[in-house]
Order: sequence, then C-alpha cells, then structure tokens
Amino acid sequence: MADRPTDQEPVTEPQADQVPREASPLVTRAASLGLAGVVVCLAAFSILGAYRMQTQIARAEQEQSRRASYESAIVAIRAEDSSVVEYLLDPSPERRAALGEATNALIDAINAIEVHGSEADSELAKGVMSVHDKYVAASTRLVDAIVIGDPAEARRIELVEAKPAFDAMRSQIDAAANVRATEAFSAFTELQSTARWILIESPVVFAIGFGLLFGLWRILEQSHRAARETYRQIEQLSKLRSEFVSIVSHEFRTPLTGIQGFSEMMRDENLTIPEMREYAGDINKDARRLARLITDMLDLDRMESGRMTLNSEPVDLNRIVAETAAQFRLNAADHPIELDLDEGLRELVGDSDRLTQVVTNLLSNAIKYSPTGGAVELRTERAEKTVTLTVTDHGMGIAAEHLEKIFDRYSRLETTETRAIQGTGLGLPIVRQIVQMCEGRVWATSESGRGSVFHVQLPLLEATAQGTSAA
Amino acid sequence: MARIVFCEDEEQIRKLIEAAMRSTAHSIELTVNGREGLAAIERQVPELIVTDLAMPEMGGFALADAVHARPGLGHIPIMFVTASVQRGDVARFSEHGAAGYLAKPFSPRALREKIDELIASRPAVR
Repeated sequence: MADRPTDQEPVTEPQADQVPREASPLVTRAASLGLAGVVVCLAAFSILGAYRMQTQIARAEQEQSRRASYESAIVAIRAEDSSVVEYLLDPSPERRAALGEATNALIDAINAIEVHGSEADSELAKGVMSVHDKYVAASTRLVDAIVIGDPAEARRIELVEAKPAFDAMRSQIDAAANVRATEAFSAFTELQSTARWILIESPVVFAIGFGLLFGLWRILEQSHRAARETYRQIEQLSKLRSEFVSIVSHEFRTPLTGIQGFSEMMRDENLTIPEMREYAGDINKDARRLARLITDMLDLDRMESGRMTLNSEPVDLNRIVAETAAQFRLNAADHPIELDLDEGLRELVGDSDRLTQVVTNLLSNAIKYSPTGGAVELRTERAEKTVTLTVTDHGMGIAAEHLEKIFDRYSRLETTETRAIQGTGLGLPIVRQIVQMCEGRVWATSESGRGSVFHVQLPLLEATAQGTSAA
Repeated sequence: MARIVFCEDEEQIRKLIEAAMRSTAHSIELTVNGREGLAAIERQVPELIVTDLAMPEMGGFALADAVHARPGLGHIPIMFVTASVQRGDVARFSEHGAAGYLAKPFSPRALREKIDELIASRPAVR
C-alpha cells in the first residue's frame, strides 16, 4: 500500500562478540600435552628412584643381618670347641658349666640363622643342628673314655667322630657365611650405585625436565599471546567492517533516495514531458553513482587480493592529467583547476585506465575537501629516474598523525568537519593499491587548516629503456 | 499553507524535496547546511524545520540544539531526515527534541504526509 510507512527498520550491525574468543592452534595443544607429559615423567622418575632406593636399602640390611648371624655362629662354634678342649684338660664342674653355656650359645646362634634367614638358611641350620648333636654325643663319649682311662678309645672317638663332626659343622657354616658375605657385598654395591646414580643423574634429569617445562611454558605463553593478538585483530577488522557497512549503507541510501523519489513522482504525478526527461536524467545520475560505488568496492577487493593485473602500454601522464582536469571542470565549475605540466616528461609504461583512476580519485578528493571555490593544482615533474605527480588543495588539511592512516581501507577520517563530506573511504586505498602495483609510492603532506598535498612518484626506469630502444 | 525550512547538503536530494513539495501549498526554503538553515529559521520563523543529520559546518543535531536554545524559536517542530537509522538513533532523535523522523530512501508521498501530519499536530507539540 502506498500509505505504508517508509522502511525504517534499524540497520543491524555485525557484532564483534560473534568472533570466537579462543583460537586453539595445534601447537598449543601439543605444548599443553608435552607440559603434562614432562610433569608426569619427572614425578615418575622421583617415585621410581625413591622406591628403588628403599628396596635396595631393605635388601642390604637383610643381607647384613644374615651375614651377622652366620658370623656369630662361627664365633659360637669356636667358643664351644675351645670349651670342650678346656674341659678335657680340667674336667671340673666350673668347666662343665662353661661348656654347657657355650653349647647353649651355639644352639642360639644356629636358631638365629633360622630366624633371620631364608628357607635355604633354615635347611642349613637343621643340617648343622643334627651334625652338632652328633658332635655333642661324640664329645660326651670322649670325656667318658678319658675319665675311664682308655686313651686309645678316646683318641679314636676324637679322630673318627668328634673332629669330623666339628669340621663338617664348621665348613658348612663357613661356606654359607661366605655366600652371605658375597650377597651382602653385592647388595651394598648395588645400593651404592643407585645412590650415586640418584646423586648424579637426578640433577641432570631435573635440569632437562625443568628446561623442557620452561620451553613448553614459553611456547604456551606465546601462542596464548598470539591468540589474543589474533582476536584483537579480528575484533578490529570486525569493527572496521561494521563502520564500513554503516558508511556504505549511507552512501547507497543517498542515490537510492533520488532513484526511489524521482521514479515515484514519474509514476504517480502528472508531469510534463520536459519534467519527465529531467527526472529520468536525475535517476540516471544516481544510478551511475551507485554503479561507481560498486565498481570501486570490487576494484579494491580485486587489487587487494591480487586478482587484478595492469596493462603495460606507453602512457602520457600529462595527457591523462589534462583530460581528467577537463572532465572535472565540466562537473565542478566552481573549483578552479590549475595545471603545471612538465613538458619534458617522457612516456611511462603503465595502465592508462588505472592511472586515470589515480588522478581522478586524487582530484575528486582535493575538490571534496576544499571549501567552495578553492583552487586545486595539478603538477607533473620529471626527476632523473622518476615522475612525480602532485595534487595540491587549499582545504582543511590533515593532522600529521593521520597522514599515513588515510590510505588504509575504510579508515576515512571522521571528524566534525569531514563527517558531512561524502566518501566510501575507498578512493585513497585504491590510489595506493594502483601506485604500489606500478612500483611507485604515494604519500601526503599537509598543514592543518591550509590544505594538503598528495604526491605520487612513479618509476621511469622502463620508460627510459623503451625510449632508448624506440629512438 | 505553512513555511518550512529544509537543510540538506546533497544537491540531488534538495532537488527531490523541491520537486516533491511543488504540488503542495507550502512555501519552502532550501538551505545546504545547519548554519545557513539557522539563519533562514531566524529570518522566517517557519512552522516546521526538516533537516538532514550529517552536513558540513553544522549538522542536524547541532541545528536542533541551537534552535531550542533561541528564545522564540524553541516551539518550532523539527523533523530529522537521515540516511542511517540505527539502533539507539531514535532515542537520540528525541534527546534533541525531534518531533518526527524519516529514513532515506524516502518516498516523496511519505515526506509530504509526514510534513502535513506534523503541521497539523503543531499546537499539541507546543
């Protein structure tokens, strides 16, 4: 319906918080796993070291006590043997009692072997005990023979029964004690080597481990920082994009207002033929403005993504400047455009359409930012190896801190003075892209409040080569 | 029949406004920015002000504030015409004492209807 209110739904801006907060690259994940791995390894190393040490200490202690019980058995055997001899020399009741004590001590020592030792030890103890019983029996009969006064029998018992029993007992204990001594020594050596290993290796292992931990932590910290930086850049881009959408939407709406308004009047109102013609012309003008805007956006996009190639043809920069100025004089008659062209300028090799775009954008900018009637000067100048084009205006100028930024995409300066001036923020980025593709450079100088100068410097190298070959 | 002062920096849109208002009985004055608009308002004391927001030298909000600050002008209803109505903008319009607003692109018919509506309800605004 015609009385439907004009569409006034708010423009939805892209939201910065739709960007994912954490970028998690593979490196971060690997470094985190590595970090956890190193911590686990270090902990396992410490636990295993302590466990091994403790086991070996226990074994060494056990071996030590087994060895000690055998040694006390050997001492007890000797003591009993000498008690027997002493009693034979002097069979007094005191000596008898001493012998009894020595025998009891030996039995205790053998029992101790059984208590402290393994199954093999207890087998041995049993064997020794039975031999000991024979020895005690032989010794008793030996004493009896001596008391009766039968030296021949005493001698037989001594040689055939008592001594072999004693020797057997003694050699059994000795052999076992030797084995125990070897075992105890090896347990001690093992313990010693473990202790040395822990003393020397663990500082090295821990140093390496902590080095790894530090390195991995640094990697994690860096990737975290990188992620934050990426996020910041995405946020920045998103902000720029949202500003761009808002600028572009403003730029689209102005010509659309003309197109919609004039066409509606042509449809609904009784107009004369000349009025119809005039409005159609207005619609056409606005449509072309929209088309130019879209072309600019697409051009810049193609240039920035490297999808645009430049022609290489002989180009007369003076002619381009003069023609562009003539074009502008038709449309912006209230701005005097002054030309100062170096007649000695050689032909460049370049893309004349794109160079025209450079001159057009700079000139249009100069006019846009000049007060009504402000003169704009275009100047070309040849140096040894370069050609310089300067565009000077007497407009509001640009603050020093913005001289670089104005060439960035979408970063049109928004101040109270410039807000009203139309622009998509694409003109200067396009200029910079083209100039850079021509291996030239562009920069601006300005005195705030007194105007700006844009300088474009293009290399003359190829043109010279061409000139010589042509000459 | 009422006097209306328009402030609009875009030439094409000024032309559209002029064409759209040709068929009405109102007497209009077109100015190119807030400063010129304010001068015209002080001279004419119109029944309605229609202004763009983004204009060189003096924008729509500054113009509205200046008009409201002048004795004898504060009663004049102001309508904002803007190319970007965004979230929160409507609230800002009323902060600056807007009687109405219109978003670009607008239809000439809607412009005329909105103007007639504001002129008709003018005593109530006062």
